[in-house]
Parts: sequence; C-alpha cells; structure tokens
Amino acid sequence: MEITEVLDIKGEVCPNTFVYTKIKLEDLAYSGGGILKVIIDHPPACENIPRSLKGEKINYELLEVNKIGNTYELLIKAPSVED
Amino acid sequence: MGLSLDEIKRYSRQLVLPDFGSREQNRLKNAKVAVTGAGGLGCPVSTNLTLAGVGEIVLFDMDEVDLTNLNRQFLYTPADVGKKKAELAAKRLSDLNPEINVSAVTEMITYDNAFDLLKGFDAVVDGTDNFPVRYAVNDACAVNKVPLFHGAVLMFEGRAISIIPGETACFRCIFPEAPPAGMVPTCREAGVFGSMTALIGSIQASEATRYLAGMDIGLKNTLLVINADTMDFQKINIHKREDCTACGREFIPKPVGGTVCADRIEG
Repeated sequence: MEITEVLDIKGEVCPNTFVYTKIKLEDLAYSGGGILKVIIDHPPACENIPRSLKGEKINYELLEVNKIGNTYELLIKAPSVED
Repeated sequence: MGLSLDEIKRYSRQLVLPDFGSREQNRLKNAKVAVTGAGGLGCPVSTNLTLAGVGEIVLFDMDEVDLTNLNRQFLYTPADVGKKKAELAAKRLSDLNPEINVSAVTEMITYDNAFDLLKGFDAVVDGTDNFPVRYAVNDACAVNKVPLFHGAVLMFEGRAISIIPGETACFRCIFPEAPPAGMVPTCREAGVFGSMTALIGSIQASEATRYLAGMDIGLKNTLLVINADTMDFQKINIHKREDCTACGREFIPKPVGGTVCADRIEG
C-alpha cells in the first residue's frame, strides 16, 4: 500500500487531532486523492478521528489502525474530489 | 490552498464543522470585504469577519468616536473620544487577528465616489447610518455587481437582508425612494438598543461569511425584521423589480439628498 502523505501529530489531543487530520485529508482529496498516514499518541483519537470523519461530506475510508509502542498509525484513504 | 499550522489551530473550532473545511477557510482567506460604517453595526460585523479569517477588510468611516457611541460600539473606549473610528478599529482588529489585513478609509462615501470606492470587493457589508450613503452603497454594489449584506437598527428593531446582484432583490427594489427627511426619527430622538446592533451585525457577518465561504445563506430575497420587545423574528419575502433604477433593466442614477446627519438611522 502506497502512502501519499504522513501527518505526525504526536503531542496533540482531541479535537485538534481531528482538525489536523481533516484538513490534510481535504487537501489530499482536492488534489487527486491518496492515502494519509496519521501518527498520534493520544489513544482516544484512534476512535474519535474515524467517528468524526463519518460526519464529513467527503467519504473517507479507514484502512488500518496499527499500535507501535506508545504511538498509533491510522491509514485513511481520501477519494479524489472535484474542487 | 494551504493553511499554516497556526491558522489551522486558530480556526479549528470552525474547521471541525461538518460543512466547513480547508476549502471554505481558504475562500475566506482570499476574500476582500468592505465594511461601510465602523459604528454600532460595523463593530460586530468587522469583529466577526476578522475572527472568522476574512483575509482583507477595508473599513470605511469618516466619524470620530463620541461618548454616546459607547453603549454599543465595543471596539472603542472613553480614551478614544475624538479619534477616527476607522483607524482605531483597524488597529484593534489587526491585534485580534494578525493573520489578516485590515485598513481604514476615512473619506466620506458619497453618491459621486461610492462607485469607485467600492469597486474590486468580493462583498460589501453595510452598517451606514443615513439614507444618502445607504442608497449610494446599494446603487454602487448593484452597478459593480458586488454582493451586499445590509443591516439597520432603530430603537428596539433591527433589519437585515442579503443582496446578490443578478439574483436577488436589492435595497432599492424594496424601498425605491428614501423617506422624506424628518419622517424617520433620528437616533438622537429615538435611541438605539445596543444589543440589537450586536445581533443584526452578527447576522450580517454570518451571511457574508457563509456566502464568501461558498455556503448557502438564508436572507436572499428575504427581509428579516427582529423586534426586541417580543423577540419576534419575522421573515418577509421580497421580489426583484424589473423597473428598479439600481438593479433593474436600466440603471438610472438617483442620489438621495439631504445631509448625512439629517436622518440618521443606526449603523
């Protein structure tokens, strides 16, 4: 699986974790789509980010959640969307 | 495209909204807005636009701060009495949000210069306090095809309407002529309820912000009338007039006479 971009937001907590992820995913969606890897160390964000993304107009897809030590990696797919 | 991390954090509480994101925030960032009047309406209008992240705001007001302004014009303090409102407001708004550009024009808007002064904006938000300037702003926006977000307050009543050129009725479609001087009580005679200016100004700013962000707005072809006595919100349907001298088939210049102080209604 090819990762298009990586967003390292260790140290951030909700709701900022969601905001940074949302903005990055939108930029990705409007520029042809791709897969975003989000790196976080705030465990509640693992559930909150995917849940909040369901309320967005753009249909994002959560592909994987991996726990690596004290951090988590979320792989999220952004479709290509016309601006 | 492209918001800085600081911008994302600053605007995060609006960026989390379901219908609002980076595209909408960037549209605001790239927008240039004129606010006519830096008084009772201009203070809440310009403050809200500033905090929302509208990239360029130009404040038009020729007046100086008076002690009687301070029951509603919250950008000023007693120490500001006698100083130019637009310049003070521009400085305070720049302090509130250093990410944007706010500038001041202290030249008086007239029917002769409005068409040039209000050119090149993505929107005009009107908080003027008299009929000659209000009609000049309306006619200039109609001719220049600039969206206009109008508001007015007198006593405990406030009104607002959003005007999109080529699509909706304009101010002159509803009120083709200004009332004769003396028909409308002046602010000094009638008074202005400060909370109502804050309410109407915030409604104008909400409409302008949503429009600039590319979102739907609620006051197209609709005059909103709010009365603080009962807190009734009344929406009145209005219609574009083909014979309107500002936005109809043919533009006919119709300056409104009288001095700007003769028939003040709060802006």
